[in-house]
Amino acid sequence: MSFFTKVLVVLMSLFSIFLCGAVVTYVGSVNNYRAMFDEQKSLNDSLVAENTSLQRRFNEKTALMKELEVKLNDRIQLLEDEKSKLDVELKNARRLSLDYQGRVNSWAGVLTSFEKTIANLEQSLNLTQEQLSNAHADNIRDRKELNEITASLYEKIVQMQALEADRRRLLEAKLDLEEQINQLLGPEGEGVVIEPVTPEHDVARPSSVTVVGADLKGLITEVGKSLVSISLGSDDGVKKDMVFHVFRGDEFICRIVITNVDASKAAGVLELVQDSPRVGDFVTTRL
Amino acid sequence: MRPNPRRIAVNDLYTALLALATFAVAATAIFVAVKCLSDYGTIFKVVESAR
Repeated sequence: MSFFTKVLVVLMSLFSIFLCGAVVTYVGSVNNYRAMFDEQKSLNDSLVAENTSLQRRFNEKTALMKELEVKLNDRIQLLEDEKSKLDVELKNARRLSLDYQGRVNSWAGVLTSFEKTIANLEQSLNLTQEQLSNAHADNIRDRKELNEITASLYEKIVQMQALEADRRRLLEAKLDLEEQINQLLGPEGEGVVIEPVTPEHDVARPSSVTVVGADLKGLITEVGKSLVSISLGSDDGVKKDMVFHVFRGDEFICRIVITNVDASKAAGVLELVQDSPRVGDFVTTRL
Repeated sequence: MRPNPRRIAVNDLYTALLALATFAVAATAIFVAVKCLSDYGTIFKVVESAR
């Protein structure tokens, strides 16, 4: 065996051993692509199934979305219609608001003028009330004076009636005396006229009666069943339980005991009734 | 003419080396064949796609 042959045998043996080791190492460490393929295939199948399921759900959801979209579109249309109506109503309401605002402004002006008018009327009312109060005070004073004058008038009328009665009585006495004188003188004495010693110049007049503070005089203003009202009140000095005497002319009618007293009038119950009192009868505290 | 004498190995070292190399190649081939059979079910057929 030549040297070259030996070298070739050695090199080929070493190379083949090295190559076999490399092949074994590669084959032993290489991946199992079939198993990986099966795994990827099963994963792909599951993903396809999931994709199918998701596609089906997507289709269902899409159908639901379309249905919901249709409903929402209908509702949007309804809302749009309602919005249009509400817009019209809003415009009308704004127009009415402006109209009412104008009315309010006009009424505010009217109210302002009314307030001024009312203020003027209140001022004139106050002045009128003040004048009325003054007139009322004057009326009370005049009524009091009228009552006093009326009372003095009735008193004078009573005195005149008494004097008239005296005059009639004296005239009758005079006629009796003249008739007795004519009978005593006989036929010669007829036609004798007795002249009074004191010439009659005028009818005797009673002296004026001075009204004192305690002597109250008035008239009956109302007559009830058991109560009568008189024209005198607490302003004239009338007090409760005062006694008034009622006269009609010179005739005593009854007596009044005061039970209620007001400012300008009084009322009382009747006592010692001789006749029914009437409105206008004279009342006084003195006999 | 003298008959061909039987060839006798010159050196057993080289014979053993060749035998070792041959055994390594055969063992490698067997290993590869077993590996292909166990992983892919065939030795020479190329595995195709399922699609």
